[in-house]
Amino acid sequence: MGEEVARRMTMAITRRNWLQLTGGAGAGALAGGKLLGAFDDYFRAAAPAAAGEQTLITACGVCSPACGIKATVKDGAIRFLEGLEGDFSGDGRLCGKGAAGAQFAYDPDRLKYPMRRANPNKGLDEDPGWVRISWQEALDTIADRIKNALSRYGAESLLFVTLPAPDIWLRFMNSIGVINRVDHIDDCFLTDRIIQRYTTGVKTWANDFENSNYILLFGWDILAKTKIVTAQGVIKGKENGAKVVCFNPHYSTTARFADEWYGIRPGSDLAVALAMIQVIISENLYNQEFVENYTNFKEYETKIREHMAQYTPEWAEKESEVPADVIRRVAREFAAAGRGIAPAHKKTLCANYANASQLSHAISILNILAGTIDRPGGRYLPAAFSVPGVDAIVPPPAYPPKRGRYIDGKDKLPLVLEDGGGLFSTLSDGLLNKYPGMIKFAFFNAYTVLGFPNPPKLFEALKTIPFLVVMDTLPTDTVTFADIVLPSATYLEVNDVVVRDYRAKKPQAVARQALFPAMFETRSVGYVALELGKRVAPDYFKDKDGNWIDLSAVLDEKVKRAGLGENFNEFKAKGIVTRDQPYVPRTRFNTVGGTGKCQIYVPQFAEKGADPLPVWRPKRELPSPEFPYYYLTCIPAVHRRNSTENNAFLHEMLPTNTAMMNPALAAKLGIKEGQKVRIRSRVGAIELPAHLTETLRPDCVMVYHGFGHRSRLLTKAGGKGARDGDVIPDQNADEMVKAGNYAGAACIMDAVVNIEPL
Amino acid sequence: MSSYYYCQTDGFLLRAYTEASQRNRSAHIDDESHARHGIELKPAAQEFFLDRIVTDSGQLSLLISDRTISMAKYGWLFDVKRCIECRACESACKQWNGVETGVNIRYRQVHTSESGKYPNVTTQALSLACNHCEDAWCMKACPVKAYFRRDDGIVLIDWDRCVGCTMCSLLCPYGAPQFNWAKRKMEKCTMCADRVDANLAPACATLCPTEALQWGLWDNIKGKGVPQVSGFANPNQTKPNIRFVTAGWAKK
Repeated sequence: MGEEVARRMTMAITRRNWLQLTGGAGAGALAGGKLLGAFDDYFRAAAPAAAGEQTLITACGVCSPACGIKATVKDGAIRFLEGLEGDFSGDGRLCGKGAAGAQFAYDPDRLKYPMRRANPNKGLDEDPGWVRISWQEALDTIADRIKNALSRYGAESLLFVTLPAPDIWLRFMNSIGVINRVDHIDDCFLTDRIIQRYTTGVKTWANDFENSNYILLFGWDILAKTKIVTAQGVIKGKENGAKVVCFNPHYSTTARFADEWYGIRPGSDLAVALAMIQVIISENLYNQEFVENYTNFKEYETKIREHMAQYTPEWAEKESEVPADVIRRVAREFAAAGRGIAPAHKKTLCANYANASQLSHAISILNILAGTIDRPGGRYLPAAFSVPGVDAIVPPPAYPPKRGRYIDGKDKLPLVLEDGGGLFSTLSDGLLNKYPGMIKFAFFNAYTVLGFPNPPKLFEALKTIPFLVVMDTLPTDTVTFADIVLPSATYLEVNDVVVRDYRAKKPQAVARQALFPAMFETRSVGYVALELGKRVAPDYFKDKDGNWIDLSAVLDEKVKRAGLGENFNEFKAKGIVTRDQPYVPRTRFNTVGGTGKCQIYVPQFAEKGADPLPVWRPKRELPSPEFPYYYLTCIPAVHRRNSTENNAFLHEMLPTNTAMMNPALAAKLGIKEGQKVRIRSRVGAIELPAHLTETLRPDCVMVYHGFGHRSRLLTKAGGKGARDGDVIPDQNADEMVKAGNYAGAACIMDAVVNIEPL
Repeated sequence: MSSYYYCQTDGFLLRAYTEASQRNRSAHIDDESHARHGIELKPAAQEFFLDRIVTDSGQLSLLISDRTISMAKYGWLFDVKRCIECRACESACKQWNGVETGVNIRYRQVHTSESGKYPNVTTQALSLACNHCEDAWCMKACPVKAYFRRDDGIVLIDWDRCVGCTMCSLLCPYGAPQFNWAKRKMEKCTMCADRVDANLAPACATLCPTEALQWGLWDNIKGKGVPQVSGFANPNQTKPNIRFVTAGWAKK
């Protein structure tokens, strides 16, 4: 196998040889039982592809705005992917990741057919001994395992590591009463989603940057995420004269667009946000009209004023190293600007310290005080097509009640529990310490271990699970630990309706259509949901006439009920549907509690043991003599989380990561450019070559996320770089409660480390 | 074939370098295309180029053929303040041109640089490819005349002629020609000549989400912005068909 891998590593996949190869499709049979078939067997669609050149509309699947794609497909092979004109998300463009989309579908490392492991020993260095099996055998085996676990140990013994989508997949999990579903969003937007539900009504992704005149950025490297909709928004805002102020320990791509950038001390964004609230409230600079009519400020005014008074800019300067006069001036400018916005979103440097709940709350209050919630230049609530889910179209019998223990301990965090998201950061502790042996069956869908804090601990935890199923497009590190592997179709091989929610002042939907039949024996997770459902919980997968649910009929019905067309075929012929309607800013806000107002003081938080107003809390770990430096992680613009490093184009652009540090720090430690260093925290160590950059604070070291794949079957990304997560401590729910981390942040930015030259 | 300058030791070419060097180095290369475009060739580039050859005269071959110098019809415009380093240009290029992967050939590349010291630091991103220079040193360097220029100024490589000697990459100030060790040929940006022929902009500029990279008629571009930014080689050498917008954002 080694030779085969080496051969394919040098074998480049290009459109040209792909087209040549498809010419031979149909000749020769796939070698049974072999993971790596002969190269010319490799690129073969399961069904004959359409001949001739077509232009098809579909939607990107790399990240969430799902930019519209105009695809030129020739003889079933992608010729060119470009943006779709008129699309709110991509505006007729694609980013580097989206434009590299064909390389996901044509990755020679792709999982091709279901496999089971022959070697019972699990580990990154163990050869799983893959044996090819049929879908029938795979599904039967998995269904038996699920039924067995359900009858003997109950639903709590099942673990699903997956997003709650698509709807049929969620239906399957509901039909068997799954309570242990976890996803990555505690690394990401969980805290902000929870806070926005209580403060402004619903989590929104829509930021009206183009109409804003003051953009306040705490950490989030919003432009290097390369979401076109946000990048264009900020640039249009700049063209319109908006001022951009950025707090970030790293002079990021976004910082380059900022009029003012401050290298804030890691984890102290909260102090600056609190002090800005203090300035705006004590000087009565808030938007009177909005705050008095649409918020609960008046009701709790005394409490709010008394509580915030302690957070002076002078105090915040001590925590953050941002000068007090700057905080005061920026707060005044932000309030006076009229259309100010402070987005909060994701992992990158901002909302992922132990004080993320308080920070998200403080940022939300800043937006409320600016009076721009669902107003021009602010965070607005997108107008979207309402696409019914499968449960609305084929109503299921009552789902079984959800009983059992939570492996991630989220029952300790009431706000997380009611949100429904599960936690990555506590999973290892749950599996190894809290409830060892409870989980008998686990299903990972499109998640690799790299997304977790402290992956080595999770590897150990995975070994305790008797039966592990992994569904993915690529043989990731997680696949290495699987008992059964299911090959997943890529987003270019499936049909769906994609609605716009990042830039949507009026509703818009794009048809995601398969550009060619799913290759090899790959399937979507929707197919798996239905087939497992038929076997495990058949009553939930029949329509009212007793026939099995037909997913394509359900898709047709979705299109029809959403008003997008008579059926999916008609919708996909249109490709994109926009409904012209005026945008009407709302006057009632759907916050928890039913007052119809935005909440600055959140009384429900007090009832749930959380802080009703944001309280200053330091980050979880602060530099100490043993671990004197802050550890930061960041996602490079070229990659999306940990899922694109094996893409042929993107891998060439950025194949590995480095330990980025300020030259002054490097000089102090005797480290030269390119020299290998060891970064060590209380849980682990990684070794990487140093890269010296003046863009970082001298008390930090930064490592790009997404690298350090160890699966030997990833011929490009495998073995390159180091896992940033190896030095990031995981946690348990008790620690989160103690830290006031009541909205469940994974604390990926909270590590402190030692750095030594090697 | 009115005028050749060349140097070479293996007898493959027609005349010895000494003969060429005896000529007036700053003389016009009075071939048809220059006459047609009225270009006067007294470039510092020419001096630089010939000097370099003198030092290498025992090893390197040099051929200056007609039409290495020409007026371009198209060019690039890059707005340095708009680039978010998303690499759409790179991916677009690779997919449209079917550029081989795994051999590290990237016709278009985004280069980032930083200047200053923390906290007074700034960074810059430049998306660069072949600039289809008016005075294309790659063409001058090619000993086998694999390079040719279309009437619209686009400089291309004929792979039937290219022997992969890498001379062009040694001379190009922008790193545009790259050696494909699998094919043993040089490759570089074609300005998507096939798209241009079909009335389409090059793939890179078509996809750029922020319009940092634009492409168009050189007549429309040449008066915009500035000819050079830090990290970009002196444009007086080869007369690249690229301009840079550096002016700040509008303030209202």
